[in-house]
Amino acid sequence: MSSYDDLPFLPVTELAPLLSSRQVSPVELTHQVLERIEAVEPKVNAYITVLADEAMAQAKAAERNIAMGNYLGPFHGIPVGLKDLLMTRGVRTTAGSAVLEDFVPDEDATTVTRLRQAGAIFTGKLNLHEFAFGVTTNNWTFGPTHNPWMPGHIPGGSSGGSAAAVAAGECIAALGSDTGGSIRIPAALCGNVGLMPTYGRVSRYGALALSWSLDHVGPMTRTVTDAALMLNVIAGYDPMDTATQPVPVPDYTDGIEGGLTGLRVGVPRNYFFERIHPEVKQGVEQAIARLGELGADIVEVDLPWVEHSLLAEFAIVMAEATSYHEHLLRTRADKYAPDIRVLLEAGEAISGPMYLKAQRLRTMIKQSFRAAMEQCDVIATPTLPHPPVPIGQDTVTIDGVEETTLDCMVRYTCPVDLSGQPAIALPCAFNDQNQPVASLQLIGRPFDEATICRAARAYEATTDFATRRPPL
Amino acid sequence: MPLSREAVERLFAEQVGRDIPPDVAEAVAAVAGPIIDGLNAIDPEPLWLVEPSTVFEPRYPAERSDEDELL
Repeated sequence: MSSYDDLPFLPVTELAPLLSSRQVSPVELTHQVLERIEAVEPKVNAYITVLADEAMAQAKAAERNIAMGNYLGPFHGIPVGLKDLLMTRGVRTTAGSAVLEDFVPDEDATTVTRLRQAGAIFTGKLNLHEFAFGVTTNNWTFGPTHNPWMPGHIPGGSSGGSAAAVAAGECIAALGSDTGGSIRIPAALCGNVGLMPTYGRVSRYGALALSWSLDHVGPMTRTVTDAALMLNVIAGYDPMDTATQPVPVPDYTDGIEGGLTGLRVGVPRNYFFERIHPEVKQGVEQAIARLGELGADIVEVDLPWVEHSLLAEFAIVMAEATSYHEHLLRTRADKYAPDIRVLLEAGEAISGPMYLKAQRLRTMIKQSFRAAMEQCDVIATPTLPHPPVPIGQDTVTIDGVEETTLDCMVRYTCPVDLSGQPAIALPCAFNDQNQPVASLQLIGRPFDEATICRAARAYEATTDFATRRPPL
Repeated sequence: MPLSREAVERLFAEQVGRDIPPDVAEAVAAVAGPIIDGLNAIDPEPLWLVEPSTVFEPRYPAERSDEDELL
């Protein structure tokens, strides 16, 4: 076997051929990733639980199986991190909360099972905003996760540990979950790729819920093709999740290099470019122009009702989360972080008619997206209005308007959770200090993750962002 | 009228069936109040015939090709 010393920063697409051809052993790769975790965790704090022994045992088994000719596919021998709200058999699953500090599930989440069956190696359980109810990953129980590109700043959330770990080379890929933007927000702030699949495309079974009707589980990776490869593994009908649908799962890498010629890219005239940081706006507008240069037809679209997204999102999430947590609020309320307890108790104030009005607004928002997508194949927007903020900063001011950091970070992402369509976030601008400042969000038709991956890959291929490393 | 701490405390005492600390009630009012006010401010007339978005059922027609029809 050859010697490689930077394996933790290679994408799955480069590692898989090295592993399958036995030029690199899963043991060597996992060892390097665990060394990286040990070296940078004091600065990043991406993990709640590191599974070093278990990962090495899995790596040795993968090495044996590959040597015996039993190569399972691109994720065989790949170190993967899991957001710590995905249940793992025999491994503590905290949801980032003292409320569940002793919870050890006796089964895996379906997505974990599928990755396990694909030969993935689990490096550990990743930090998150408590119960996924926030965007900073400034975790009250397990400490804040730092943005690897700018320590002292938030990595985003709620899947902040997942994004930070991928960016810092502490795993090759990770699983996250997204209810208002929790895959795409941290991916954007940490300069990597986050893919929220269509609602019903990937099983939520075994993912501790924030909001049943809005929760999505999806890939967080270094590159677009890695996200497509991971979706190949985790997508599909699951009888344990009644929301999943028996829609055929294609190979999401088929045609991913097909380019943009003839693709219609819709750019919203309203909402998505309002109250936006100038650096972000410039980066996203340049990225959309690049899509045009690559052969896409850029068309303007209108998205009425989308301006009500924040109200609908918070009313739905609060009501559903409060219901989910009812027994815990009655017995362990003092174990919640104070801000999380407030959000959960606030759901009691959302009446039944209020909840249903929010769901009716959601219908209008969904119809608005469907109408817009009759004029285009993909909608392009900024993922976020603002670059990373310092840890502990509770508000953001843009154009003289102050809003909470939570509201600011979910403004452009939560409309897509409400519509249930797939969306991918990928970096589109770094500043002079080599820090990610802008991310492009590409939104697709339901179950058409392949097209947003193709468009994202075409753009990604013109940049070097996926090869950059944070200065840790 | 904005949601008050007292109203939240009354809600918990009369409907939820448990007490809520005053500081938490104050914060709940600050968080939930603007959402309730915002939803109330949206004209319900255009929503009259609109059904709520439902979950856990097939919500999108799957893209099908001619080949699918043959299966």
